[in-house]
Amino acid sequence: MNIIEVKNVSKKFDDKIVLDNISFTVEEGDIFGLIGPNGAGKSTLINIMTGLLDANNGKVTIGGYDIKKETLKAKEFFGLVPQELALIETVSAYDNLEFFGSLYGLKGKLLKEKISYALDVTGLNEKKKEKVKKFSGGMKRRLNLAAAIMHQPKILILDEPTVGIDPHSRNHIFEFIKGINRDHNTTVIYTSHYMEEVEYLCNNLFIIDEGKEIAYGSKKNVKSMISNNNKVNLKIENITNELIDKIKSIDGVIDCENSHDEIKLLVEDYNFKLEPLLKILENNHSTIRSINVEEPNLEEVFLALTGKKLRD
Amino acid sequence: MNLIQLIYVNIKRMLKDPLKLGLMLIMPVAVIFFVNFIDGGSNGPSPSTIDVAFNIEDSGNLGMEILGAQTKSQWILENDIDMALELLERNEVAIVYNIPKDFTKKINNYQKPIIESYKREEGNAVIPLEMEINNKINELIKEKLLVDKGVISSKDDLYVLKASTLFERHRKTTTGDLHTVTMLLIYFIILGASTIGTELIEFKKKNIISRAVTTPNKTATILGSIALSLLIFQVASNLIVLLLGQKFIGYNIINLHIIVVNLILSSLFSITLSLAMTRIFNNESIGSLITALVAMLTLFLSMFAYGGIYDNAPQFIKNLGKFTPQYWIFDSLEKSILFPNTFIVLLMILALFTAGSYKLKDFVRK
Repeated sequence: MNIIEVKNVSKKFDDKIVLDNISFTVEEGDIFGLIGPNGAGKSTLINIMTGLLDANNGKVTIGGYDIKKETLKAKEFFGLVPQELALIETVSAYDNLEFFGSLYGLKGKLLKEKISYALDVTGLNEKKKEKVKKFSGGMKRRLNLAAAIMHQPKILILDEPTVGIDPHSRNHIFEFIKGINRDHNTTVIYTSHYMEEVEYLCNNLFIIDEGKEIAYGSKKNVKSMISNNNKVNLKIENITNELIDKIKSIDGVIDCENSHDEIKLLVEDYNFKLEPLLKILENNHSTIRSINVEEPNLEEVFLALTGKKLRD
Repeated sequence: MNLIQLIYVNIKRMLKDPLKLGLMLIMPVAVIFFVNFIDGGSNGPSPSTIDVAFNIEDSGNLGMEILGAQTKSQWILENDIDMALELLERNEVAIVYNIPKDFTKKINNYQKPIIESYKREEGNAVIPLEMEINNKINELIKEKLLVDKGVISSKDDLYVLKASTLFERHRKTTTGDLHTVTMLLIYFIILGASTIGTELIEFKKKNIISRAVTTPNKTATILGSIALSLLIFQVASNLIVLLLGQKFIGYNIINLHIIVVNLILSSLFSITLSLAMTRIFNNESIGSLITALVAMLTLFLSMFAYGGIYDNAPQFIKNLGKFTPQYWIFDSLEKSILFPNTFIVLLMILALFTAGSYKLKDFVRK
């Protein structure tokens, strides 16, 4: 079931087109990556999806409700972790959560319980009475996240949540996202220009650049857009020409190069199996010192599709 | 209703913000103590700033006793009410008191005589004077009663006792100028618009408003909760300050309901002014400066219009001052009236609100 539907959304600022006919759907329970370099239009798209901006054309439905026409009902479905920190720095973490929790309609005992829950899962319980201005960048990011999850939304939208934070806080956020998705079936929309984050977290992707769709689909499908081939690197002993010929004859092997004590294979992802390769090596009495399979990464996909690097 | 919860958390947040607490609570406290300090040198009542005429028809000699009341200047006439009323008509005096024929006789019979007063308009300026006359009459009756009943041998004994026991009480009820304090508080409330504007722009800059807009609330609820919490916080803190002043400084609070209504109007004006300013200015420093200038300019204009200390100001400036809310608020306090002043100020607030209201989404986008 699609919990988010974005249909033919376009947005102009003055004469500049920042989103050009964008369409995608997100299934309930998915971790969906929205990827693109800085200025690609990710935040504008998030702002339209959350009702902060109106699209010039197209339609966004959240949980079946049109964000433009049934705004309040649609907004009940999600919690937003904005890219820029949105915190009141003069008061404590607890007071911030009380303020934002109230905005989500929480009050009384329930509000206290949800604040406690949010502080627990973001690891800020011990710092709850400390003023936010004394927090480190990572702690502020975690509090920024906590403020969006108190009402336990069905959809969690995270707009570049790891910008400028320490590895500890980053891992904390990753684990939290995986956990909330696994335990509560929360749909996660994750925007980033860090490909490795998206590779680690997301199942499905939408790649955007200069307001246009570059690629959309499952991680595997998107990667296959540039190549269905993987690289297999073997470090072995007793390399002979006979062995190389035998390896070349395996189904799915496109090319085989001998380089000192290493064999580099180019293989078809959908056709190649490791078992015949291992059997040939065993028959040849070759000692395997290491074996490494390289898939194309999203960075390479983006480079191949747009001709530029993500962090240009 | 979510609005009430949002107002509650906003007030709680403000109470925890030392800057806001300082500006909205400690500042008014400092004001009343400052006023008390500059006014507190004398133990007796402050001289009234009005001109008064007394027409004495009393056939006895006690009527003359109340002439000691402190006024700017006094006309003392004997059996000439027509002349006294003519003075009132010519605007040479603000009030005429007619000491009746049976004044001494009634006091000798331990009864309170009735003194008629004639004035051109209602106002609070004569209240201290009338309280003093009333106290003097009570003193005269008390003296007569105690001497006649043999409690004291002469009226001088009463003053010996008073000097040691009643002095403090007397001092407490007359020092401190409620009127000045109230007007200063109102001035500070309106000046506080710059703080409110700064907070709104800060909220925008720190992305609090944009985040709030993405929650399932109407933008009117979000902005309304901020405005109402500021209103409640300002009115409550200033009322607390007034009540503290009554307890510790000792002035009498007269017509509390009129003070409350005017504090609410001042706060509403302050909030709507700040909304209008944040609509125009995007930079909090410039917005804050212009708001403070508007607050001060309207205060001076209202003072020109009200007359008294700025009588030489050109007439058009005086007329312009009547378009300021401060003029009508101060007038309401001075005369202890609500109509039409409240109505006029509300119209001004409505006009400013219409000019200053905006969609939060547009405010965030700007």
